[in-house]
Amino acid sequence: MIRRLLSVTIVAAVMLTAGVVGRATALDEDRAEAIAELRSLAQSIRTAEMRTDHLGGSIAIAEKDTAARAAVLEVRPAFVDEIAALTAAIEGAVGKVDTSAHRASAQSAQQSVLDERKNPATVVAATATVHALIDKVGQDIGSWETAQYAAPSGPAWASSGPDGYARVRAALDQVGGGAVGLYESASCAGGTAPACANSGGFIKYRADIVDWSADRLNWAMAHELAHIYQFRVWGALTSSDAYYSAFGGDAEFLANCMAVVRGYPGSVGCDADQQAWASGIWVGAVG
Amino acid sequence: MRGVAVVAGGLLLLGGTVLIAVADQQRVDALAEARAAVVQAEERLELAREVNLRLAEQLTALRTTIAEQETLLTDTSGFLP
Repeated sequence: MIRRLLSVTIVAAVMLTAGVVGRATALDEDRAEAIAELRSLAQSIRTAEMRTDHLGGSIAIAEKDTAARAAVLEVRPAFVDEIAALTAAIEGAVGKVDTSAHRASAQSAQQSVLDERKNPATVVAATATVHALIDKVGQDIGSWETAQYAAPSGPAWASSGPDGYARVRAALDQVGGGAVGLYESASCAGGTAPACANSGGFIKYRADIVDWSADRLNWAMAHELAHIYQFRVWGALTSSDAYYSAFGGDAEFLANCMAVVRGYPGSVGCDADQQAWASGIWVGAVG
Repeated sequence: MRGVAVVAGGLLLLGGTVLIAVADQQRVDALAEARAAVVQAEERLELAREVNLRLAEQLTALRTTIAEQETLLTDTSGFLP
């Protein structure tokens, strides 16, 4: 009886122990699983939070960029308006003054505006530059017009009339003297010369030359324009040995040769060496 | 003598049972704690993802704005050729 009871008790104790151990193992396994999951979640959270930081930084940078670009764009219409005004001024200057330098400056300003992304002051400065260029073109046109139509004193024409004046003016423009003042005068060599140039930078013509043929008129204006260019280098010219050896110190002969170089030959020709030397005077170089 | 043995055995049995019960309770508590931590972590991750999504949308909107501004900035209409 006691032995049976003991056996039953031992079996019961073994089963109970097995049950307790099994439960403990199962609980431990569950816990280990939960901790592993927690680790992987912690990793994910770290990644997500790093991304949050990264996004926050990117947004701050992007907001700064947007604000800077908006500021640049805000002052841009004023610049475009000035460019439009300058374009009009340059178009108005065609045939009067050389605007290539103004255009180049404006293009440089345009490029700096196109490249600017942050600082509106750059665009404002470029706008001011273009505005100054417009003023400059206007002034240049003004001085050209003054040189065109105003004689040192008195009217530009007398007996030759406006049409006659226009014909001589067109010839002078044709040969490259667009910026040189012109007026009618019978004072050239006391009236014996049909035209002359003075060292003040003006060309005078006698009324009768308005009836000359176009070729002769062009030659005459090229010849007088040559004198204007001679005056600009007068000191160097008169102290040049070549001037005396090649042209005999004759300004008229040199002027004829310079007209030949420009493509307006008159009755007097000159050889290739003389032409080469004479062409230098047109660009201010005395050989 | 036998009585003493029975009492001692009974006490040992009781002590062992209490020990086992306490150990079991500790395991159960630890598991519950770990699971609670998992739930909490999941909530935190969810929240972080929502925030990221919102920020990503904001960033996309800003980048679109920048692209539009870039188009305007590189526009050369009205400029000198």
